[in-house]
Amino acid sequence: MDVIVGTRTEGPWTLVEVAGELDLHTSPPLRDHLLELIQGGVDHLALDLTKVDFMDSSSLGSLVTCLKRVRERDGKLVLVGVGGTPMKVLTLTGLDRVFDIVGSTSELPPG
Amino acid sequence: MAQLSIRIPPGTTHVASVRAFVGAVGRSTGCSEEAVDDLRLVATEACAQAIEEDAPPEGIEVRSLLEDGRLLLEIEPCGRFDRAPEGLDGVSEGSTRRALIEGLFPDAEFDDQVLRVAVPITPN
Repeated sequence: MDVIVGTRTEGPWTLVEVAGELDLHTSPPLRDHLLELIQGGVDHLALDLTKVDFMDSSSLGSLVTCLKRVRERDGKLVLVGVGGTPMKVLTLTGLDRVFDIVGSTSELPPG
Repeated sequence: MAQLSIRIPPGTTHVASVRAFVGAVGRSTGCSEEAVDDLRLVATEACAQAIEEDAPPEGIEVRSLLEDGRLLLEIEPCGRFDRAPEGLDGVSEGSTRRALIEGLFPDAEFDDQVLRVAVPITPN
């Protein structure tokens, strides 16, 4: 199942909207999509997780891989609209302190 | 209630079926939504760990049983939790998955590749 709903540009940000459940089966295609964007020069990446109702640690691994890659290029990766189980997983692993997290796309920094 | 179980082949695509099974069992036995979410996460982590450690071809079994006012969930095999998910090396001292499970269920039992967790229930 494809969890990527769409990719669009909002100001300096490339916003990837995701929906459904992220696990070890569904997160690799998302990781590959994000890495392709980074490889293609995107350095302000926002991942809208508002419609993601499940996320496991495999998915976190994918997101950390992307975070490292974008930071190697002095870029940013921001998580948007994280709640429920995904937020619990981020908090329990301590990764909520590693990622930049905002409540909605309107809270994305100017760049 | 009789023991209910699901056995999945050791492939990543089937883990969603385990979540559906655990969610249905949890809700039908009166678990809170938070407990159901936690059980779904634990089952996913254990199955993922087993798959990453090359689970046997006969697959992974997830069993549920009502016992002493609790819903008991067993996942076998659950893996040895000696390997971090890709991308999470060094995030925690041991296995990130195991740390996550123990964070949700401090009383989780890891016994010879069988993981057991339990939640209180309100019988319907």
